[in-house]
Amino acid sequence: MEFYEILNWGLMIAAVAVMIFIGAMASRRVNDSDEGGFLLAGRTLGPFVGASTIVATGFSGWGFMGSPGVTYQYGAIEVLGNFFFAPAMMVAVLFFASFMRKRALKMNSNTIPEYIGQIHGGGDGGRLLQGVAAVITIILLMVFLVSQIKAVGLLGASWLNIEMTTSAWLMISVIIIYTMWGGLAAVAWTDTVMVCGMALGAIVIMVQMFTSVDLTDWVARLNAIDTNLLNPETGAPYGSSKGSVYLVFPYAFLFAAVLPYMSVRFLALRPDVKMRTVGIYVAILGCLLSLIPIVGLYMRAYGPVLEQADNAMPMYLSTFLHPGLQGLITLFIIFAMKSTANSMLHTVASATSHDLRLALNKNAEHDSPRALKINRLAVLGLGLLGLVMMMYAPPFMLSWLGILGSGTLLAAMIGPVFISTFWQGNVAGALTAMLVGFFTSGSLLMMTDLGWVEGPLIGAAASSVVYVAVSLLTRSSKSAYSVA
Amino acid sequence: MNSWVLDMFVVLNGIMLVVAVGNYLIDSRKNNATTGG
Repeated sequence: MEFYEILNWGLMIAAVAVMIFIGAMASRRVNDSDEGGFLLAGRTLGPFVGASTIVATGFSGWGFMGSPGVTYQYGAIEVLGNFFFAPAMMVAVLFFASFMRKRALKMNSNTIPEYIGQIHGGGDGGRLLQGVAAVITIILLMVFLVSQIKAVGLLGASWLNIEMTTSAWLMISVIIIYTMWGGLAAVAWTDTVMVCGMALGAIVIMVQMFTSVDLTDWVARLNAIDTNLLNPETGAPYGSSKGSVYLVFPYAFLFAAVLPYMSVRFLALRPDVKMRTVGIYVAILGCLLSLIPIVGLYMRAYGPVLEQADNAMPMYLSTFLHPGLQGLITLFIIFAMKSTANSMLHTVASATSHDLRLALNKNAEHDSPRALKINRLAVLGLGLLGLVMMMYAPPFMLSWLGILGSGTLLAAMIGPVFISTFWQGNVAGALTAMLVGFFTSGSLLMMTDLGWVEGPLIGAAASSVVYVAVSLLTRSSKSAYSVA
Repeated sequence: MNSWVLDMFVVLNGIMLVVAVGNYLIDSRKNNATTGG
């Protein structure tokens, strides 16, 4: 075994030890007489931990691996497109999160499907909504989770020089252990450590790039290759017109505001935490992480010619960084993937063990030691299921699977999560909106050539219209009223 | 920077930070005014 391979193993073991230690510490927040301890970290997240877990979950491995590849191929337009996730998260935190947190606190909602059920009046109709929202969440997030497990497995395999399957088992077992132990508190605290690593990685990469070349020469080289790299005449890969790249902003806003594994973090913030403070941290972290895709432009100008654009980041690390630093940055990239995977696992598990259970049986136990055990077993069971599914998942289309999962979930949830926070529809409106969003976005992504932003946005628009229209058409004086 | 996308990237990054800080200052002042009577 070479020296740097031993170093990578050492880094991995140290990271695992830290994560497990955090899981143990976080378990103190878990209380067997209140499921909120496991599902919402006991609503104790402070501003920095809250911001860190939002940013770490939102910026998956895509920002470090996929996006530099797209930048290498299409140019600077991807730097702008990827950046929109940062302001979108900030806007969601500053102008939406406090409304949602206030309403969730009043109703004592522990998950997003539960919030949907309660905000639409609870009772049998509410349980139906909770169950349907849980099923949609489980189906779509399992698809996304499998793609993340596969991505982290592939990267870990080349980093540690082991088989892909072994690597995936190793990486995901750790997530399962700390998430089972400490619930959302463990996920949020490990996310905080990981996002600090990711931000440090971004700083190291920027320092290396901007101190090694002359900016004028960099621009000249890119223009010599293709003037479209810096001044694109179309919006490719986002669409045919230049303006299509701006569609990423509304997409990313909905991504941050309505996806259950993102918005559940708003519910977990301590009630006295000011969103203005969370917003500052989100903006700073988002600003740093949005710089990463510039690596694609650097590689295009100064790196070797790549047959596959997706190799831009790995080739950058091996060509321009010291092997020790290369190992450390790879760990931070693995962090980016893990911080998304752990959040999805926790959300899928709580949708199964809490929401689906309560939806199917109105007398089911909650806030009890038995309920906590079921929540923990769901993390174990679904984590293992994700690993098994990953072994049979196609070896391609990782990004596409992720887009299908998150984009379609976003389209399904906009009415019952976002619109309902300001204008309350009824059960029929919410149910129809979820199904219309699910099928419209899902079929547009699977059966047409529409871009990954346009399909979910059209699904979200259809779902919103249906939510309001069906609610108005079926409303009775009791079941629906405006709260705006 | 001779690139409309990178110019936009820099400007929007700046706006994001200004909005975050501006919102923080305005909200803090509003809060102080409310709690301070």
